[in-house]
Amino acid sequence: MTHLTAQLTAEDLRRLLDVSAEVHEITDEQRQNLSHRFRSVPTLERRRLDAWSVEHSGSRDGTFAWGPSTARRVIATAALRYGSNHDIHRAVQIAIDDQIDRARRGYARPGSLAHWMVNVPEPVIAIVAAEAVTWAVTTLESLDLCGTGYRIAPSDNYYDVAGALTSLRGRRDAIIDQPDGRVVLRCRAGLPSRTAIAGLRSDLVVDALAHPQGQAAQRFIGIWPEAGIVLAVDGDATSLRLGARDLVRAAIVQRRRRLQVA
Amino acid sequence: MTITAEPTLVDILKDGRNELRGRIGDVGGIRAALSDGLFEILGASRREQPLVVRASSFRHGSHDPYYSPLGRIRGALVTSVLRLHTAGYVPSDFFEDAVTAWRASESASELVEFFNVLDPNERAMLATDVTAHAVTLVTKFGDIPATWRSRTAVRTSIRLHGGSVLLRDHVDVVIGSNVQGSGVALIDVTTAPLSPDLERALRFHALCESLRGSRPPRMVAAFSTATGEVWRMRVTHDLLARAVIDLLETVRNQVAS
Repeated sequence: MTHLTAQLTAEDLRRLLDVSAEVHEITDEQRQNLSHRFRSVPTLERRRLDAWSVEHSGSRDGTFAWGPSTARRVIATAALRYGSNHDIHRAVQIAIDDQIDRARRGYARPGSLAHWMVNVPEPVIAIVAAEAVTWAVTTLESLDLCGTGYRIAPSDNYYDVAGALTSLRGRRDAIIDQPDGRVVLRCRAGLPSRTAIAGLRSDLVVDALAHPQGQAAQRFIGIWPEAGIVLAVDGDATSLRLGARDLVRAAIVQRRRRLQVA
Repeated sequence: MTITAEPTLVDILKDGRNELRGRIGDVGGIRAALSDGLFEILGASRREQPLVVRASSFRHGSHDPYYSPLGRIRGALVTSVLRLHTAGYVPSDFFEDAVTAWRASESASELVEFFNVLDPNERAMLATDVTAHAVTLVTKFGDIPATWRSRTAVRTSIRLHGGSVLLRDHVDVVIGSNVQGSGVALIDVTTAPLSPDLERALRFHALCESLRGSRPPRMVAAFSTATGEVWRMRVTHDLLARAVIDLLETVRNQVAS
């Protein structure tokens, strides 16, 4: 297992991208074992686990509410997928219009971003646009340091664990295809916490589980533009095992907390 | 008679892009000077709680009216107007729209609580004050071209000396690109008149950006919504060296107190 720390510079990022490690695959047996582990942690309602829940020891984000800072990444990544490198403001506006249009046509579920956006006043929409433009440009500036070989990820990774009422979510922003594998990048806000590596490992394992052949990325890179720091984990067997273990632990802690509340 | 429109901040920055040619590249020496200075002050030990240094650490005393709760609310509301302006939104009522935008961004804080208990007279005074600043801002700022990759309310957090010192910065507007070669400009919009304290804050912005990114910014600028004045400074090795001296002095004072 290797994890690396670097500065957010073109030289350091290119060094991290120069990876020729063997590509690990998650086998059917490993998937079944993981399902078994999650099924052994019973739940009556669907649980959702991601890097955030791993980094915060299974805490449930019960107070989540949409706002400019929680909406920015969704809008910004949608805008980046339009590939509008030159007029990011326009791309963000299109992404916002898409959300509002979906809600107005009745396709948005209650609690979704689209549902929230259609019910807030115009100045709030404008602040969401400002936040999203900032996020999108910051992401682009960081990704551009990698050169031109990246593509914006079509979506985050989702993996439903069979028979365990458990959904895993792995965030990702860009993918760099290598001759014999891929490197995945994710941009994050603030400073990396002490558990940031555990979060990256859980993103890595969900990315591998969501891959049709179970292929893990050769390296999963987390970029913290505000801090100018880059952390990376290699997609080796140990990182995958630890990533899966952390997700199961997050489920266990979640269950214990729920039992205490009850 | 020919009437010539006064140049906006964006016009001034456009001129600056042409005038201020040449940028400094590596900041290794600045990093080393900072590192040595911190070692001299803090020694080899690591602090449990980091010393936090912000731009405001350089530019206000506790008696400063611009840093009173009302002054900070005004600053936050004018920043909201700025963000609405850069997003292309044309407010129908500067104050009410700024309040709506601000409260959506900052759901619960000491300032929001303070705002909630303002009496009608205080609120009316704040409204007229914010509107006056907003009018200056909107008329003198100008429209940022879409290709300038502008972003607003950009935060930076840098850990130094093994986490014993934490630099936290917040720049109102950042334009340009380090990757595309144009370099970046950092703009501080303030509701106070421009003063030497603000010059130190500008140097701090330049230092944080240099430590965070791969290259230092091309220039830093300050825009006062009180007077409509603009300051613009090219980022040089000397400016960054002075920023290091300012920072070390602030850390020394914090340790002493």
